[in-house]
Amino acid sequence: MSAFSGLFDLSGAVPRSKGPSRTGLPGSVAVPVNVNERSVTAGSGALPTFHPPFHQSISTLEHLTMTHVVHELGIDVRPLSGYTGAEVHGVDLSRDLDDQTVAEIRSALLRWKVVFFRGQSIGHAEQIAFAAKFGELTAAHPYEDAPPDGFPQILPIDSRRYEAKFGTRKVTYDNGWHTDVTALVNPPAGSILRADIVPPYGGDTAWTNLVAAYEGLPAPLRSLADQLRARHSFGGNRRLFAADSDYARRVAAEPLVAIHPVVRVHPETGERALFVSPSFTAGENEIIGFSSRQSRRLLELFYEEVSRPQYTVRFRWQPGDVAFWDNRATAHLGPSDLNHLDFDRVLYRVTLVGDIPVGVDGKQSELVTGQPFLAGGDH
Amino acid sequence: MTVTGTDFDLRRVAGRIGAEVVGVDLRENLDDDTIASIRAALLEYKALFFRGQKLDDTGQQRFAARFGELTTAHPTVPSLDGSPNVLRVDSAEGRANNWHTDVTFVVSPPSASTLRSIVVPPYGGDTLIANSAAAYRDLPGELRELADRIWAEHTNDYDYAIPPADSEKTKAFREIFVSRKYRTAHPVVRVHPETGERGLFIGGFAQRIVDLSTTESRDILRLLQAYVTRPENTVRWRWAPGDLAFFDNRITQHYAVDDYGDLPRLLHRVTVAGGVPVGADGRRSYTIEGDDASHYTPLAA
Repeated sequence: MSAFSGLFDLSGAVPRSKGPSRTGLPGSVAVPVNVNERSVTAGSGALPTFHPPFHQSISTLEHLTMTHVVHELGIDVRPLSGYTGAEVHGVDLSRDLDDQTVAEIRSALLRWKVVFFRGQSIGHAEQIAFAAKFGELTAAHPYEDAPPDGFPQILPIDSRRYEAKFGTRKVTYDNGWHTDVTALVNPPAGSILRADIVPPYGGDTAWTNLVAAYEGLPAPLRSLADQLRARHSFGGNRRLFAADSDYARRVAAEPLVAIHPVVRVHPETGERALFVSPSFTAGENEIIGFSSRQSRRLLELFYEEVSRPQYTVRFRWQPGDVAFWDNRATAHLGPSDLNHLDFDRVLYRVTLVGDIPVGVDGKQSELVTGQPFLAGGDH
Repeated sequence: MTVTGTDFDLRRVAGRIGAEVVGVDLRENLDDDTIASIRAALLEYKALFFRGQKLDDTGQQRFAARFGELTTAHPTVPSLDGSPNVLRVDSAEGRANNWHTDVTFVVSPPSASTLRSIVVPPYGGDTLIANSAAAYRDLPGELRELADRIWAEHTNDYDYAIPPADSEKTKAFREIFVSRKYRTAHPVVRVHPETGERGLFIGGFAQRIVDLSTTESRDILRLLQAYVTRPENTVRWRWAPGDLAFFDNRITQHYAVDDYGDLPRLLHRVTVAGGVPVGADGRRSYTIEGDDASHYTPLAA
């Protein structure tokens, strides 16, 4: 029982929130109830984090044992769902990581598609240095014109500046399922996102495993998908920004369009991924050679597969958390549950230069308009 | 010992649903004020989570009974031996990886469900819970008006808990699940009896819309259901052993994520009896096929 008490004891873990009772039913609230209603900023004292033990298949509470699997080289990988996502413990991203640690992280990334580092104390420079261990960095984003001073690789995902930037109030760049910037002929290979200010609740990000989604298809559908190619373009029909914003003018002036295989062969693992990116394949006639109606129905079928709950993980941010995903094998979903709430949410992203996708037939993606997105902003 | 005036914390989990209750030991004999506060939190946040409780079956039943009379385990599935109100939710017998509201195929579905984790996989096997009132509010006005007027048939006689393939045990479970067949008509929009909130009352057991064809029914149910399962209307709970989830079954749906392979997962469920749902027009649900399920749930007055 002592192991149990120690693991789950939350008493005194956090100062209680001050705000008023928000149970919303005046007259029926019989005892004082405190509700978390404050934004949380890096360095201001985080919400409690709860990390369940790695191994919990127990028959009774009395037999609970902690048996984390600790890799010999020191990193501790704790999967978060059956197919997707793992927390990596035992790594301090503010330090210069040795090659073995980097290799271990890369291996966990390839296995779990997205890895999370909790409670790191790093800034832009350390985030860039960490990312550089895994490849060349791109500039912040093809359409980003105001990265933080001195850090052209950093893309702020900042609810406080979106209204001015996009002409519409929002908390995240894109709140549909997508793989980052697949309108590029070489979408980023990986993305690293760091939380600075997070709301006290809400604002989670979800990832899905596109390899598991492909492998879960019935064989005839896999064969069909293997042969398809789809057009990816920036903006699509999901309104990311107001039509009269500067941002919209910039996108219109320099459109990005690429044609990718619907099934992408991963350059490192050889795995096949169902490489549809709903926010970027949202127009008409996106599947090459099909009618608009056929294209829409086929894509809907694939979207339903990639968003099945069993392939996904949902991550609840704390300040200082870092997520690192394989952008060649995942799609992700930003939050839509904050628009009615007055919370700030600030994260910073960097991306790694990607290769040009290759389909099952060995054919590469085609650039329709725009330029490949190569290393940028090096100092 | 009676604990009086427990001052607990609520930590909201997602933007539109879910709160963790911190500072309550459910083994204690909670006083009426504390129970009233928990009930108020349940009505507002729809799903409450109590981590690391040390409850046994008796304690789970005692806690649930503070919120109303209990149902027996299930209309067709036998209870845990010796505990007529406790249902085993065992991965070996089927997986509810399907959005549903508990037991809506009877005319008086439970008002609330408690789920207590006993064996959980080291990772995977989360439960998603959706706020069906938020889904209703998300509907464009025209669709709300449509939903307010239609009724759905709910039945247990379809492939609900899909068993792992080739398992005799699970085939047997399926036979037990449909050993009595129920079909009940419920309003697609249910008016919550305590808050007056409207919520979409559909989910997996709703197999067709009254008076519409199979094709029309499927299209309309899919359209409405897509609002329920929008990520912003959901919360995802990662279980640790000893957690208790408590959700308002009148205004939520839930889904057990089947991503843990052959690992064992066992929870015990105890449900609080509910009344007959009432639609936006004031009409009450009615039975189409099957008995009144009085062996399962107390008959509403």
